[in-house]
Amino acid sequence: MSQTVTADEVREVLRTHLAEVLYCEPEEIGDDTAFQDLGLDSVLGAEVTAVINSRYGLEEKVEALYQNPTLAELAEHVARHVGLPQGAR
Amino acid sequence: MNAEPHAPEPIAVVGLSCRTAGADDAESLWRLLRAERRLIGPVPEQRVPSVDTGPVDAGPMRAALLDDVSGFDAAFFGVSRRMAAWMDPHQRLLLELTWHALENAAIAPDRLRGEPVAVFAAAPMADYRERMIRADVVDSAAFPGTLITFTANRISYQFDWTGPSYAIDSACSSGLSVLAPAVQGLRAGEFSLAAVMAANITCNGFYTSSAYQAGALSPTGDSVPFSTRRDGYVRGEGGACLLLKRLADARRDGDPVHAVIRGVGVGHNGRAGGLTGSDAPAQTQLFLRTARAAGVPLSSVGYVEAHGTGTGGDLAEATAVTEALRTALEEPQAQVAGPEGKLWIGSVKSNIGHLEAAAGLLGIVKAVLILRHGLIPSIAGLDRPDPALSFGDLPVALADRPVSWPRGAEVRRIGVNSFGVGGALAHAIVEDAPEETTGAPTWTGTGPLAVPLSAMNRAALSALATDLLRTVRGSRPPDLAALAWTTQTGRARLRERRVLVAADLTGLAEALAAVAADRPHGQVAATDRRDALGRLPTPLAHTAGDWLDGLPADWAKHWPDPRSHCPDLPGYPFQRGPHWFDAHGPAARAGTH
Repeated sequence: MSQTVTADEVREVLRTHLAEVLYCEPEEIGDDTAFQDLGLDSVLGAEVTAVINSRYGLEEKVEALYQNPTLAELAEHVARHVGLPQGAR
Repeated sequence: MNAEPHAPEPIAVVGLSCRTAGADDAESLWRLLRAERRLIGPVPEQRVPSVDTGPVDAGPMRAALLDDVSGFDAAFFGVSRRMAAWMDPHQRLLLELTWHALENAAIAPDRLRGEPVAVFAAAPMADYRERMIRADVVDSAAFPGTLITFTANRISYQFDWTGPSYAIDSACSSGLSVLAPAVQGLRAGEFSLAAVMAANITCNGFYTSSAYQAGALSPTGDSVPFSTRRDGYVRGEGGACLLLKRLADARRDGDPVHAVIRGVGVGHNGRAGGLTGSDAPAQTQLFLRTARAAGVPLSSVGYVEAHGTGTGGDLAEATAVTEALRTALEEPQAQVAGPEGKLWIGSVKSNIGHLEAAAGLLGIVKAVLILRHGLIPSIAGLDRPDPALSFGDLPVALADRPVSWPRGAEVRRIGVNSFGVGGALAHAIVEDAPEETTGAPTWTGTGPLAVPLSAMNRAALSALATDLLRTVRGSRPPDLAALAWTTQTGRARLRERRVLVAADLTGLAEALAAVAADRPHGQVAATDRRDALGRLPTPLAHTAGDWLDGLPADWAKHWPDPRSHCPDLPGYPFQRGPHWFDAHGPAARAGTH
């Protein structure tokens, strides 16, 4: 894959996904709100991870959400890894 | 008669909370018991759908239901709306009850993070999951949401407790069975604090239908235990949570002690009584065994809060109590210990229904209330006792009227009894808390006191101040020093914070009224408005400022020992919204509902 995306684009896509997963409005998900405060637990986190992997062709584990525990950080992380060859991730 | 020297460690009830039809806490439960209110009413079809009584000729279902089982303050507990919607309402109720029990014990939850606190929860019915199955919907959130283990494990996760955590099922004796591992583990030193809890919520017709068809439920919905109107049991909703510690620890730590659990015994009928029946001799043996293991004479029990469900089991239970007393009175110097020289029997079931898995814990709460208020409430609706009941020549009596039982020289003891449909028995002996030796509150400082209040948002803060104001202006106002100590050291520090500065209860009431109305006041400090702190002694003002700023705040250094807790403050006013999976099923998504 050679596509690249900006963190801003990823952030808005993820905001929509997160809102669907959590049954809330996208506006309720602040860029810097801790996922834990949103109630993103290990079960729903796995769902978010699956969405990210399928949409961006990644192989992230749910731990990526713990290591990047806000929307802003997660979007940066995803944008950085999209399009990189497997070994470089 | 006091305990024998070999008696095992008594266990203190340091915190309690409950909810039933008509009552949000223990004192409101007491008021309805005193008023002999009966909370049993009609059941709306959508609340318990598809009840099928089969060949049983039953009227429309009646039960003692909670007003709202879909309401939950998901944001307070950091639970997503998704998870809240698919989470069994038993878990949600127990989260709230655990929080309120901690407040009642004046334990700030943060203090217990990572501690080996034990959680033993009665395994509830699976109505919510059955309702999903009926609707043919499933969701990943229902994985933790409906597994029975999360009844206990969700609590351990929420509060970050690392002690044992599991659900216990012995059907309608579960609410006392949960006490057994708690008491044993505390005595063995495996943990120092245990949370035991049980809840019962009815939201699907399957179990109700099977119980009607098996003849367990009252076809009239008007059953009164031990009476001629006894025709089966009436379902009731609610729950309770107790926090337990070794008595010596509780006294060392200055905890409130509501009552003491002397012993818990569990057993089974064996083959006797049949698959689903109850057996008198097996219960008699259990009562005697429980008292012996507790190191107290059974004759010292003056009241039995019976399982008393209004079924055929009532007769066996009354016989069991009578025969146990007969054996107990064979001991030298044994005397009947209850008021008026009798052993009294009562049951809460005609007030609030039968809480099934939670029934035993509500029995303990009622026992605590009887000891606190010095009165045995009457069995509501008991106009004609069943003539089949016979106590022989023994001084055993049904509580057919309120019976005064004040605290006296002898320790008052209550037996709380329960049995499950599968033959599993459980019995507990509860007694008076030791006389208070810590004395009156000991605030020796001069000048006004600081009363910190916090909530998750302004609406909840306003509601909290409103509730506290009602208590402060009520007929039994709290001691200001005890209230200040409790709010300083026995509450979580939440997002929206105020410090109320008050020299007396009148000043506190004015400040509370201002917080309730969400308006500024000269005696109220907020993070951005600190003038009021200037009225406090400087060291106390510093601590109050640190608390407002979210910094570590050592309130205790301002207090000499011993301190006094104020356990009867209102619990946190959860801001509940509706959470129910039906709103998110395929029908809802397709917009066809």
